[in-house]
Amino acid sequence: MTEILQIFFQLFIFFLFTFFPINKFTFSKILFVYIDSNYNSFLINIILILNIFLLFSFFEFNLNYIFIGLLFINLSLLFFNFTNIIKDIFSKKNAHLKFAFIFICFCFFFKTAANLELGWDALSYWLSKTNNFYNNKSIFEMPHPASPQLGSYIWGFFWKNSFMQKEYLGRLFIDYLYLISIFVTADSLKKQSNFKKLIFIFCLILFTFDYNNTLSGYQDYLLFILLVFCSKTLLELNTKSNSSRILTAYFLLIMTTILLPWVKNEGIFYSIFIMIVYFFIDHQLLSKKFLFLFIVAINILVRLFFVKVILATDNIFQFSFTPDVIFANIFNIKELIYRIYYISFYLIRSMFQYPLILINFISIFFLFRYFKYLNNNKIFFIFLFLNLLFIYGTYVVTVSPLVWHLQTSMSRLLLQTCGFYIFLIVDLVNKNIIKI
Amino acid sequence: MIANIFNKIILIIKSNYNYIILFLFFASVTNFFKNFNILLVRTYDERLLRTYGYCGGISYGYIKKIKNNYLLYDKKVYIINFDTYPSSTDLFIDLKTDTDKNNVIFLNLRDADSDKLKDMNFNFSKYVLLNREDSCYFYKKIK
Repeated sequence: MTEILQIFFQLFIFFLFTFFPINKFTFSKILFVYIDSNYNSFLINIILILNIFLLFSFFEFNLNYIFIGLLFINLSLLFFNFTNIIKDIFSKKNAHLKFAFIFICFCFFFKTAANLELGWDALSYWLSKTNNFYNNKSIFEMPHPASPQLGSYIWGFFWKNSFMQKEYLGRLFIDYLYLISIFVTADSLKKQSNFKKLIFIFCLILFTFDYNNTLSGYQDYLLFILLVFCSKTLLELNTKSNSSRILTAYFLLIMTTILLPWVKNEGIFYSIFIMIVYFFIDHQLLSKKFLFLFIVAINILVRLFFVKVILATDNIFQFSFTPDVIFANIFNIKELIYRIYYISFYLIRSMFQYPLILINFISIFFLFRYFKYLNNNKIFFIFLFLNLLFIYGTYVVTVSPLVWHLQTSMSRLLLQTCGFYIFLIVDLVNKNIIKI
Repeated sequence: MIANIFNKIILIIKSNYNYIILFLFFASVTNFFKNFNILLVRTYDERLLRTYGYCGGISYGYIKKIKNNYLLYDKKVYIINFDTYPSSTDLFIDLKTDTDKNNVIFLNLRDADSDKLKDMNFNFSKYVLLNREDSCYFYKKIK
């Protein structure tokens, strides 16, 4: 029973850390344009807190002190706005969605708490990195320095700052972020009843949820979440809304893109893709585009410099590429066809493991029927093109045994990015092209 | 009074039956009730033991036993798993890898692994066997 109470308390802590400091009660005048919905507040605060975690992860600060500091700020804000927040929580508006969120959170939290098995990579890499942060050691003592630290830092932070200090209590935050990202997506559906939104939420969860492969200590959902946020802000930038809303979305996009390379190495490529996609968005100032390019480039260079020079790691990526191997695979037609065949086969296989990927592909091809919407949704096409190029490129040049590599990583690689395309479905529903 | 509350509950169920069916469906998909029950009846340690096994696989139970009985002060141990599994050491937050190999645990060591053991050049004459259970062994270096 104590563990169940601890899980309840952990949800309250997550709520405190993600609903504050910026919401419609605290910063109503400054950011009113973007925090009209509570889910947008969650989105802003999550991006903010993840950036704070990223910053703190480079220093040897005691996790308890950071927690107390953040808790003090958030509790103070809760105290000063207590009546309004309580009224909002217990209001009948969207009551079903609020209840559903809490209920689904507990479904996930109990599942994580009852099934303690960690995945292979989680036990081999991520847990040892988390232990390092849990023991208040610095990033310079971190094992497996080639893999980035953000996910492990978050895991260690909430593990350390829980009453019972059980490992899984830290992992619950990833479950929570995943659910927030799903609800943020559903919140973007316009003119739909709460019941339809709930069905949409359940479908998204059922089509992307696979505990054994992803929530067991892997970092893939973190990339999924960040790409959902990127997609939402990009779509915001792609529509002609008011300037302050666009400016907020622009800064959110920058802050989210900064996080990507610090979650997993694939994030380096995804941040480049996001940057390229942003360049194709109309009615954006060229200066803004170049500022974004500059920030993304600096961020990637810092990451590479940090791993290669400061942490003195031989290989930045899981395996090293040599020009000989790359050219041997690309210019050997027989080998190339063999590889492309297997990559395509496992790509299709993964679609059935996470049906959302299949739905994404269908919705993208569906768009071809409606050419007038093609231009508005080109961000998804560009991202898909770059993503497929990345997937095929990675497996064509891999030095690991191809089939083993595909079996162990393809589905997770696709899961990471499938969140990005959900907003295409949302956009199609909002434009009444697809009816739910 | 009770009848009033009962009527209100019936009214809520009637007006929200579609949501209730949806929630129940989701609860069954995620094994909500089973997981809730597991949390009520099994301790954290028991769940870990059921997940990682006693002696076999990652052998959480055996390592924990050795840690509690033989590594009271010096929480360092060198673990060699003869089956292919990720490191077991990281499951214990206070356990460190003993690079000097003063305390050594062999996991999943069977007769068929004698070749692997020979390749490792492990000098058994310098160690004393303190504990053995099935295919799990704990050796301590003689000082």
